[in-house]
Amino acid sequence: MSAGPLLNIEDLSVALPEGADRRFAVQGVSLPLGRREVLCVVGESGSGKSVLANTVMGLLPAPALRVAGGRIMFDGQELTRLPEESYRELRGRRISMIFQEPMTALNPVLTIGEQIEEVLAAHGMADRRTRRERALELLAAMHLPDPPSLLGAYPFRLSGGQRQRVMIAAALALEPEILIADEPTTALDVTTQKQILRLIREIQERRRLSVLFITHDFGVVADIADKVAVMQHGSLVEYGVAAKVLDAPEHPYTQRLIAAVRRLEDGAEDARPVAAAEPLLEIKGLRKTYRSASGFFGLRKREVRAVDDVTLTIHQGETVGLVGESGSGKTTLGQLVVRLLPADGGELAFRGQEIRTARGARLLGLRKSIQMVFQDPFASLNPRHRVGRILTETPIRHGVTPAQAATRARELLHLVGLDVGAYDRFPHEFSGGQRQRIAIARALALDPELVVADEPVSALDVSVQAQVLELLADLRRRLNLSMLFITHDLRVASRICDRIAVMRGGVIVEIGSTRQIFGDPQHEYTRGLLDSIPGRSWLGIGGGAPVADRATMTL
Amino acid sequence: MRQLEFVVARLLKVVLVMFGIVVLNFFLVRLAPGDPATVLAGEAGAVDPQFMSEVRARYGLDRPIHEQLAIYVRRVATLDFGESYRIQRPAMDLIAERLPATLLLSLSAFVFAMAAGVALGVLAARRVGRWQDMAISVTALVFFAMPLFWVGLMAILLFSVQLGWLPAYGLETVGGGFSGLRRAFDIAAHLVLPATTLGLFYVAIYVRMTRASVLEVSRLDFVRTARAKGIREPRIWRRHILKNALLPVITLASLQAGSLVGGAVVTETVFAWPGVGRLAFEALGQRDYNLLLAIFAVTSAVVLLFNLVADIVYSLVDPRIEARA
Repeated sequence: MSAGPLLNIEDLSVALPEGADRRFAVQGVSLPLGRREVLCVVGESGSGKSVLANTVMGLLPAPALRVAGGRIMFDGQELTRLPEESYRELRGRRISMIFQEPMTALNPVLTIGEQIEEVLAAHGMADRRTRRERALELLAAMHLPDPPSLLGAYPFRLSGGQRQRVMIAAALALEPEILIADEPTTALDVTTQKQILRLIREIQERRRLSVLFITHDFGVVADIADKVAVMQHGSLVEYGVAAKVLDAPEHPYTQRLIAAVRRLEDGAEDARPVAAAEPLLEIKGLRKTYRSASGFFGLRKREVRAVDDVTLTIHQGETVGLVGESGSGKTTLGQLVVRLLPADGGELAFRGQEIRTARGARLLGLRKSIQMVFQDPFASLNPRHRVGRILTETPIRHGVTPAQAATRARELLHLVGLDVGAYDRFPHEFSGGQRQRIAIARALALDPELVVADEPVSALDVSVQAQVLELLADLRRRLNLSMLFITHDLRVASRICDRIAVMRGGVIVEIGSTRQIFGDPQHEYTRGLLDSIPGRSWLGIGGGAPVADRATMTL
Repeated sequence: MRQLEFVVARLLKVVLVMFGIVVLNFFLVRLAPGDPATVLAGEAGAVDPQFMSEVRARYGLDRPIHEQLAIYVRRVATLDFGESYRIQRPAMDLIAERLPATLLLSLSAFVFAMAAGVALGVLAARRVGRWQDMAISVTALVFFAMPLFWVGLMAILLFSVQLGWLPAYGLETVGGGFSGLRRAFDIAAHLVLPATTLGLFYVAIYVRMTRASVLEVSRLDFVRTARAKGIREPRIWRRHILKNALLPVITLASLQAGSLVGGAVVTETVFAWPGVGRLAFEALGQRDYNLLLAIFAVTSAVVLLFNLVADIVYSLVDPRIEARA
C-alpha cells in the first residue's frame, strides 16, 4: 500500500458542449483525497463541484460533458480511461455515491429491500438469503425503525431523512473505500440534516471511509470537514485544512463567501421598538384543516391541521419571521394571510378591519395592500411576459394609467438594484438573484403595506442570499414596510427579523424578539432547531453554554 | 385486503357509470329526427297514420318518454334489450353473433399495436437522435396520418391482388367447410390484413408515448443512483427504466382498448368483416333504437371492462396507487 492519497485528481478538465457560457465545467483541478479523510468541496451553483464528483464516479452525462484532460488516480488505476465494465465493477463496491434529492433518488416502484439487495447482487453476492440478511443489518446500522418490514416497503412511505438513510445503506452495502456525497443534506430539514451528518461522520470513523463531500454550506463544512476545497467557475481557488480555511481564508472569493455566512449570523440588529407602533395585521385563533378522502369511495377521511389556532400580530414597520421545518404549516399560514387560501375559522384583521371573509371589491383592495414574494424565482415569473409587463400588469388592473405604471416600473427596477434596461427583457435572461429582485419589485408595484415573503432567498446561493436580504432590509427601512418573513432557516431569519415565531405542527410554539429566541430560547423545539444549525460552534451562535456542550458531546 | 377493497370500489363505480350511459344513450338516440315507425312505414310504402300508430303502439313508442325510459332501464337490468325493430330478433342475439369477430379483430390489432409500438418506442429512445430513431418516428407517423380505409385498400391491392398471399375479405373462406385447426388457420389468415391495418394506425401513438416516457425516465435521479450502485445496464433498463416508463403507456392502452371495439367500423367495412361496427352502422341508418341502444350498452360495457382491467393491472405494477386511491 502506498502512503500517498487514496484518490488523486490531477489537473482534471471537463469540457462543456459548445455554446455554453464557458468552455470547461471543471478546469485544471488537482485535489488529493487522503485515507480516512473527509474532504469538503464547497462552491456556489455552477462552480463545477457536482461535475467533479460525477467525473470521479464515471457518471458524466455523455456526450454533453467529457473529460478533456488530466487524470484521476485511484489505487494505481487511472479512472478516466477505465473501460466501462471495469468502472461498473468499481462503482458501488469500492467507490459509492449518494445524492441530493432523497425524494427522487429511489425508484418509486421497487421495494427498499430490492434497491439495497441489487447492489449486492450486481457485485456477485449470489445467495438471496445472505443478501437479505445483509440488507437487514445495514438498515439497522442506519438506525432505521423496524428493518424487516422496511424491506418490503416502497419509498413513498418513507420521509426524506429515512430515504437518505436508505441511500446511505445501499451506498455502504459493500464497504467501499470512498463515499462521494453530493449535497446529501441540502434538501432536508435542519434537524434531519444534523442527524444525517452525524450518521455520516459516525460511519466514516467506524469504517475508515474517505468521504468526498460536496456542499454549498460553510456551516456543514465546519461540522464535518477535515480538508476543504473551494471552487469557483470550475477552478479550484483554495485548498487546505478545514480550521485554517474557515478561520483564515486566503483567497478573496473564499473570504467573501465566509463573510456572507458570518454576516447572516451576527446580523440580528437591535429590534426596533415596535410596541408603540400600531398593529397592522392581527391574527387570532386562525385555523385551516386539510381534508383528503381516501379508501372506500373516499369514506375514510384524513385530516391535517395545517394551521391550528394561531395568534400573531405584526405591527407597522415590523418584520416578523415565521420559522419552521417542512410540514409545519408556515406556508399555509402565509397563504391564509394573503387570502390565497380560505381559512376555516378564527380572525384575521388588517388595520382593524376584519378581512378573513372579504370578497369582491374589498378583497381586490386588500390585494393591493398585502403582497407576496414566492420562493422559486424561476417558477413565479411568467416566462412569456417581459419584465415591464410583469411589473405593470397588476397596477393597470387596479386603475393606474399605463404611462404611470411604466414610469413606476422603471423606478422600481432602480429601487431593487436592476438596470432600467431590464424592462424590455424576459425573465429567463436573468440570474436567480436578479429574478428574485424582479419578483420583489412586482410585489412592491402596488405600494403594499405588508409583504408576505415565503422563503424568498432559499433557492439562492449564499452570496446572492446576502444581497437579496440586504435589499429587503433596505426596502423596509425606506418604505416602512411590514413583513411576514417565512423561512426554514434560522440563520436567515436572524438577519432580517425583529421578532421570530417558531412554528411546528400548525402551532406557534414560541414567539419572541430575535435576540431572545437566539439568546434565551424557552421551548425545547426552538432549542433543538438552534442546536441543529450547521456549524453553530464555529459561528459562535446559539444559547448558553449548556446547549453548546451538548452539541460537542453528541458529535 | 386493501387490494380487494380497491377492486370492489371500482366495480361499484362501473355499475354506476353503466347506468349513466344507458340513460344518456336512451335520450341521445331520440334526439335524431324520425323514429322506427317512419322508417318501417317508408320501406313498406304505407305511410298512413294508422299503420304508424300501430307500429308505435307495438313497440311502446306512444307512451310518455319517462315511462319508456323506466321500462327500458328495468329491462336492461335483466340484460333484455328487446327485439330489433327491423330484423325482428332479440338485439342481444344479433350482437352475440357479431361480437366475437369484432373482439378478435380489435384485440389482435391492439396487441399488435402495443407490442410493436412499445418495442419500436424503446428502440427509438435508445437510439435517440440517430437514424433508427428518425426512421421509426417517421414511418409510424406516416401510418398514423394516412386514412385507415386507404391503407386497407392498398394492403388488399398489394398482398391479395398482386402477391396473392392473403385473403382480401371476410372472416373465413366462404364454403370452405374447414373445421378444427384448419379453420383456425383459415381465420388467422383472414385476420392478418385487417388487424395489421387497424393496428398500424395506433402503433404511432404507442411509439411516441413510449419513446417520450423512456427518455424522461432515463434522465431521472434514481436511474443515476442505479448506475452509481454499479448495477448492470440490462437490469437498469428492465427494472428501473422500463418498469416506470411503461406506467403511462398502460394508462393510454386502457383508454384505447375500449375505443378499438367501437372504432373498427371503417376497417370492418373495408374488409367485409362481420363485426359489431358494421351492425351499428346499419342500425343507425334504420333508426333501429333497440339494436342501437344494445350495441351502445355492450360496447360501453366492454370499454369499462377494459378500463377496470387496466386499473387493476396498474395497481399491481405501481405501489403508490393504493395510497392515492
